Amino acid sequence: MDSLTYIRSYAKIKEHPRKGLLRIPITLITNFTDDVLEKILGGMCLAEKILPTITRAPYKQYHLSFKDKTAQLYAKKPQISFIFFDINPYQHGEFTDSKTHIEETLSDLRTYCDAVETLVVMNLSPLPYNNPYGHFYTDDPLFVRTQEWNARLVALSKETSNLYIFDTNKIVYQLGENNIRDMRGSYAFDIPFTNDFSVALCREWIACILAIRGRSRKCIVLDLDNTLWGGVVGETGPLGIALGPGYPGIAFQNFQRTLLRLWERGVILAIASKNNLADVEEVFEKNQHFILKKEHFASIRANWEDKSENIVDIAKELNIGTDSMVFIDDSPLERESMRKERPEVFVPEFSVAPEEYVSTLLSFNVFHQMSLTEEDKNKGQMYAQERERTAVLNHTKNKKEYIAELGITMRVFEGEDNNIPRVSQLTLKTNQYNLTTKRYSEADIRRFLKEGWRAYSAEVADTFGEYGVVIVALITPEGKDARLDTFLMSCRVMSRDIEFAFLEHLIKKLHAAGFKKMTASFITTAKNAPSKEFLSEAGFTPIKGAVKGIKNYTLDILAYITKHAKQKSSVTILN
Amino acid sequence: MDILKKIFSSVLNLPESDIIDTLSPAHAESWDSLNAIILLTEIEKAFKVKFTFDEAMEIKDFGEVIALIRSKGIRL
Repeated sequence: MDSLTYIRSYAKIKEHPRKGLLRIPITLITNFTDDVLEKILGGMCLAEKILPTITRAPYKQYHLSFKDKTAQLYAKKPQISFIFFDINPYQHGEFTDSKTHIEETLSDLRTYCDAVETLVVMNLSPLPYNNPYGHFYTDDPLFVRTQEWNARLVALSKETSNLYIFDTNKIVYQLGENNIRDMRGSYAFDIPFTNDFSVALCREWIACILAIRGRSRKCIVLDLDNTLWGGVVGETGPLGIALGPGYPGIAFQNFQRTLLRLWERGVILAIASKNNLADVEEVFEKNQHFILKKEHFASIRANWEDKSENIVDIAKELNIGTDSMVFIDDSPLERESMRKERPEVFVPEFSVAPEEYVSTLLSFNVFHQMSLTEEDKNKGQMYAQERERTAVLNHTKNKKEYIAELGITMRVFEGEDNNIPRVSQLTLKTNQYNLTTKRYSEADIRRFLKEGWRAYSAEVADTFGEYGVVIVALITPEGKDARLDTFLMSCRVMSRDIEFAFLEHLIKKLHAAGFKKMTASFITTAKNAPSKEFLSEAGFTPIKGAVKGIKNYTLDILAYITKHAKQKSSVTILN
Repeated sequence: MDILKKIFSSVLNLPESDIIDTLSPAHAESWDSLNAIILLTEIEKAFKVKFTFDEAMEIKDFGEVIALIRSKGIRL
């Protein structure tokens, strides 16, 4: 879609509001005329079923607006803010002329971040490579000044937990310095950028919005013939497919290498192919040019069923929603059928030559996360361990025996000891085993701790490997009552009774701290059915008279402790 | 002509039937200075032409837009 489409849909929504959209307040602060930017961002939000309410700082008044806590910027309580200051390379301007201005802006930014508490996406300024110093461009004073300003922003983000940096130079690099600026627009209307630049910038911003709403994609489901390799394996055999040095085989190999790098940073890979499973297995065994190995795939479906059915099975097997999946297939027919049957699956266009596969894949921009944790980097390996666990499940008689054989251990973290980036990430990403689905930034959690909340998380391992931090509880003290604000668990560890052991451990802690009663709620979402029965099963009593979609519960802490005193858990707590 | 009408209808949020030669900023509330700039850049992009600042500023109505584009050798 181009800028015009976005501008049009944003204009339409202002006249005819649509229902069923998720409303998100957004603040946009720049030092140029940003009306067009607002329209493009707005239209792009709508394309993602988000209804944005965008507040902008009045033209050239950002300093005033930052300092006035009653200003619209603060009053509208943004869920996310985008700030972008341009350094105009060809004319004098506030950022070019005075260091005082830069210092003041940094101080304002700090004030703003502290006040809004939600995520602030700060864009680095484009570096002016095209400058009078020619090959010695890095000596140009303006270049140096811009570099300093960017470095100061990065430094500020290190000490401000809700300040996130996006390097705008990524877009400049992609589009070219000569294609991002519209000098007539700049001089005549103070609109310094081309619409192509604005579209590319807004795409990056949308990726941030989707990430904080837990809507980033988690898994790529891949076709095989003419997608992961050239040719049809059923016709040519495992060694006859195009894969390996020389065109086009090398293009498919590099596509696989890029998928491998996505896997290394935590994107799950799976296969849905219309092939005989035996033919596919043979490729894994015999074709030495195959970059991805069997263990990189969390699920392999090679059969003659509809791919839209296979993708549902894969989602079930991996405990993720089909709306967190991307489907890549070279066949327009398969793509069309998937779009029709499973509109929630992201099905990008993929009718391109093999040499375009890598750049096409990288252009999707749907796997964004606000932080990369150790857990992400180990995720692929964890799914391979999961297959070994399934083997145990197959030879044990029942769930209890299975859990015992896994030898699960848990280390619980409390308060400041928590890995706060990971805790925040889990609140942002977890959809299924999540009682209240409240999304929190790192800054939110730090603030809660300051306000006396109790935060617990646990790192889980078993004989097959480590899962990392996978379970979180946030508790608000209300006199002698402890309110369970958030209780969630990564779907990777579902059905292992980990949640019950974790709850028991923290109730003991609450008991020791003098709490008498625990209150909790289950807020129904489209996705959290797997955690629906947790509170009842754990011994909570439902309270009558619930609001639609919200069920409230209570638990007597002393009675719980007495009841569980003699029961032995299958999970060993290490601390 | 269809492309040009689509641009005007999209940017000004008007039905295509309203896009007639006499349509002007005086008639269409949405034809403000900002949308004028968007119209300018979108027309330039669609027809691969470039207008000078003065040419763009002299436009009084839709009919003049057509005439200006034609003056650049584009058939509408």
